[in-house]
Amino acid sequence: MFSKSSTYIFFFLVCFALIQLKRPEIKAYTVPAEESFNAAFQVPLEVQSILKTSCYDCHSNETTYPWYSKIQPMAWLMEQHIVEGKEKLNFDVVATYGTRKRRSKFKQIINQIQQGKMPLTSYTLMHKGTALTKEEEEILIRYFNSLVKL
Amino acid sequence: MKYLVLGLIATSLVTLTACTDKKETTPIGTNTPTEKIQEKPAEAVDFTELLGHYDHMTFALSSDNAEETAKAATGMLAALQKIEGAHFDPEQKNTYQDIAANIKENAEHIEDNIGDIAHQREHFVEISTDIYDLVQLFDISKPYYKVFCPMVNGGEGAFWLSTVKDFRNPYMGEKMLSCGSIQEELN
Repeated sequence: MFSKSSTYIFFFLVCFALIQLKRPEIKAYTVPAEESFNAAFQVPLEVQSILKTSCYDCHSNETTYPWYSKIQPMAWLMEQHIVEGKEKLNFDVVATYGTRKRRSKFKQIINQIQQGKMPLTSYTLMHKGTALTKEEEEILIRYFNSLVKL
Repeated sequence: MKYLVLGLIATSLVTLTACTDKKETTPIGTNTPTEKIQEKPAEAVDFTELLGHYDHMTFALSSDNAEETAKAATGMLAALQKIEGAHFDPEQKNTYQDIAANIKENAEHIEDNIGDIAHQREHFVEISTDIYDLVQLFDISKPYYKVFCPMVNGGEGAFWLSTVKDFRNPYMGEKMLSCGSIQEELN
């Protein structure tokens, strides 16, 4: 007979295997190069690289999916983050907004960074190296401030 | 060549007759009722409801009531939708759409943040700017006081529109209801 704990482990493994069957569809978005945020706003390289590392996974059409994003329940968690994130801000559609809405978005970005709300802790814990250093925060804030004044 | 000349004559004839047609009809047009019908939709844009919800939002924030503030935001969104179908001049339409898109953006955030009145207030800074511009650019005749409070918005200060001289600060609420000074009287 199996011991009680091995029954639990077996049960857990079966569940784990079963949830692998259900996967969110990973949508491959393509952004025409000239419409991307980087192109539309001629973003300096320094800023581009910070945005790519810490923001674009959830806030653009260029999500980089790590290997563990193929394993449940990580896949679900990530998908949820991305859907919510893009709903609030998608860098690749900002260029299509009117002047006021753009400015509003940029101000909110600055606020979120200043208040340490973004990037989310749950994200920076899961994805190594995505947290912003003080210096990176300042670079972003300075950059978005320059866009607000445009 | 022959066709070209003929074509030229034909087009000039058409334009000439078109011009004379116009000249004949314009003086009559100004007196006929058809002209009036064309003008009517231009006046029909009614901002009363939108402004009413803005005033409600101001009051709710000054009472530190996040839930009521969210309700006002919902009201603003509904009012915006009603205005959307109204007739604007092509020039005004762009300006309006720019302003409306931003009010919508910020009202949605206010609606979603019942638990965070500080965040609602951040968005209220934006909405107040939009409403101020709307009143100015669209010659809305509602009397407002533009009140400025230097203590908010990360030290930058922010303004709002108050319907009464005896204003209540929506950014501070109970903490400092009377903070602010009247900068301008609209209408």
